[in-house]
Amino acid sequence: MKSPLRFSPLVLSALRRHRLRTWLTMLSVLIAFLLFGLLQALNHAFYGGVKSAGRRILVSMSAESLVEPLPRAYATEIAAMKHIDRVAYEVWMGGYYQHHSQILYALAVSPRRWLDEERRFLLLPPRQESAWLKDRSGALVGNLVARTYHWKTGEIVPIRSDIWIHPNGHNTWPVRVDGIFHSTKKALGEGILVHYRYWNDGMGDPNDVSLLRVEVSHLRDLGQVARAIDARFANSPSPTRTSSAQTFIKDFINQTVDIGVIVEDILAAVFFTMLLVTANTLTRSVRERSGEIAVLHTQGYSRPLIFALILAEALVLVLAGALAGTGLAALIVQGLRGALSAYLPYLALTERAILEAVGLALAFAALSSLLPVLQVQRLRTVDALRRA
Amino acid sequence: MRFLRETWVLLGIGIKSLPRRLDVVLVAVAGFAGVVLVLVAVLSIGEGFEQTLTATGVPDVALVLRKGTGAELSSNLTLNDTEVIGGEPGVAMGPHGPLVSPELLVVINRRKRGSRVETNVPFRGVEPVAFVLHPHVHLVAGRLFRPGLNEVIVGRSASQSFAGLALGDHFRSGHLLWHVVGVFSDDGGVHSSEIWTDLPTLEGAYQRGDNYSALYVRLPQKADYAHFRAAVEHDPRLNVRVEPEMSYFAKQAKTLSTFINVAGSILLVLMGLGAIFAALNTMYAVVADRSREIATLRILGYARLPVLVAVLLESLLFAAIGGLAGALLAYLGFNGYEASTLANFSQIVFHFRVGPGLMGAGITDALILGLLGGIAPALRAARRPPAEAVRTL
Repeated sequence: MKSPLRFSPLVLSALRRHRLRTWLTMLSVLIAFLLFGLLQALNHAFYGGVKSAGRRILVSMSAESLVEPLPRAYATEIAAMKHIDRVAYEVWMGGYYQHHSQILYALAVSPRRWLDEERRFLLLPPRQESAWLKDRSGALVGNLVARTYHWKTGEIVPIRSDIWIHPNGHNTWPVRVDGIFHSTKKALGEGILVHYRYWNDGMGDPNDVSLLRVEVSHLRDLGQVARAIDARFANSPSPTRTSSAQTFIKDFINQTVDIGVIVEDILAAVFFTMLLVTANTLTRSVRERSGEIAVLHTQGYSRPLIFALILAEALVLVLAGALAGTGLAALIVQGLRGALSAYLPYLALTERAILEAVGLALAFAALSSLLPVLQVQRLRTVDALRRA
Repeated sequence: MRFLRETWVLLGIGIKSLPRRLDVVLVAVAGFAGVVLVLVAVLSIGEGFEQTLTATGVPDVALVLRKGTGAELSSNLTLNDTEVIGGEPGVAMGPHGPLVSPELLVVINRRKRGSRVETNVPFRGVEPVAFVLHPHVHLVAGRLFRPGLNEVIVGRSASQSFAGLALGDHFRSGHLLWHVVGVFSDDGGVHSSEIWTDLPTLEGAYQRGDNYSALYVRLPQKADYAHFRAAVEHDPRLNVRVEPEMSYFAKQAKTLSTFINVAGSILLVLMGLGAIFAALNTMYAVVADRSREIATLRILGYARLPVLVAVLLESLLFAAIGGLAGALLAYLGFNGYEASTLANFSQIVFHFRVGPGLMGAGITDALILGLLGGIAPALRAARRPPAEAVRTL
């Protein structure tokens, strides 16, 4: 058994025949895969947060709309239902710092419940944790926010709210930074947590919450529990709408803009164009070489072997371009990540996207060698030799 | 004269011999078409959204919101504020007093037609004076709601995009059943995405007492705006801010427009490079293919410049055809395509807009790419000594 690599000089010489053309085609492929990488990273930036939501978590909110509150007492009622581990609640503060453009992702939460749920994702010095638990007007701040605004522990910062106005007419909620945490969940690093009681006292005890987060004991009960919660409050003054946390996030993004569809459309257009370019290069190259191919044939090279050689040529051309393009995309994404972490914490080129790129490159090479292979199939050796 | 004639002959031969190398040429044309299609389609999103928001409102109306709030949905004013503001200088008078329109905005969950995604549809409570302050809003079907009967009129876009909002439909929100008795148009503005009912009914349904979100004020004289704003913002009885209605809505388009424009520029550069590579490939092939006839003509006394210009023109021709095809495809595929997005927590329906300006820009881009892709091959064709070209035959 001889190594198939012995044919590599043949393949390389075919590619070297028109160096400029080979380069240009490779660059076209590079561009296609660079775009693929960048768009996949953008897609992940939008939808990456979906996976980070716990799979056993349900989100309950007002059935009327996301700005209507729910009574906090629902938390106790739901906790008493079957198949439920934990219930947490939160109030969306609608916060900003100094100016409307500097949005703060601030939530008022029940501190112990929140820590119970998120502790395994947090890196927080125990002393800061206990300081926050004791300090009703204190806040836990994600490391990314703290870095953006240069906040230090012990500092008092004014969170202004777009939604909540103190009965005294002001919309500023001063909080002391008791702790700064790092989190393995990227989005959490942009978060600020304040005590629910601080908000509730400030608002004059409305005892409302924006939404409830319900942790179900077993994944299989998820749908059933969601329906049970909604059925329980269906005839109350505040009916609920409960969905899995992942669906909740995905729906919210889909409301903003259906990025996935647009990205796919663009990619399809790009790939179709690039496929044409590559297929055309190969077709021309094979046509020019029909004499040589006929000579190979007379030397005992079978048709399948010649097909394999053409496919190998396509593979070298496409894979080189695809790897360079994907690599370049990875470098660019890496460079942008730091600058954009506040806006797109999930911007990343995932391993899955890279594998997809390789798969696409293989399919691409196979498709673009289809036409030249058909051409060789039709070629009559005698005619080709006469022309050569 | 001779230059023009020679260029014309060279270009003519090039075009007449096109069928011989149709495949290569089609690749270049498809490359240009692809770039223009994607570019125009992407930019038409921003264009359409901006169009909807800038078509909203009229120049002589100001919007009053509670100080510190960025949007109607989070703003909160009281009946008392209305009376104070109605008495400020510059406010136009109507037959029933000052032309000020208190409006309550809430959002309700509605399912998007043909999908299971629930979206936040804006629901606005208004008084009769609102139709004076929003002159673009007019009924196109059915009749106006009657106060106190849970009747609503629905904007045309909302009626088409969201389930259960067609004329005659009943829909449930919270515990109330609402009846759609009319459909209105806002001449392409954002109110077309909204549901309207009378203010006291909505305040009652949402337990808002006599609170509402925002006050629209008619200020007929341009000079009045500054006076009015100073008076209102310095009035110790009030805690509000003032903004021209049109700029309030136009601002909402900014985030999406910026994003689309940045994304569009990156796409243009990358896809443009791809198209240039494809064009270079094609034009080198064309030049190689025609080297025999070009050499022959050069030996017969044709100058270099006509060769250069003819090859460039051929490249530009491919670019123009590709660009035109791409722009037309974008027009057919995306013009008027209905989409909606979330701005300030409420859903705004808009339509992608492929206008003549955008199509023209797309074709211009294609021509620039055609020029860039054609110049090196054209130089090679013009510079090549004819003797050498003939020898390689």
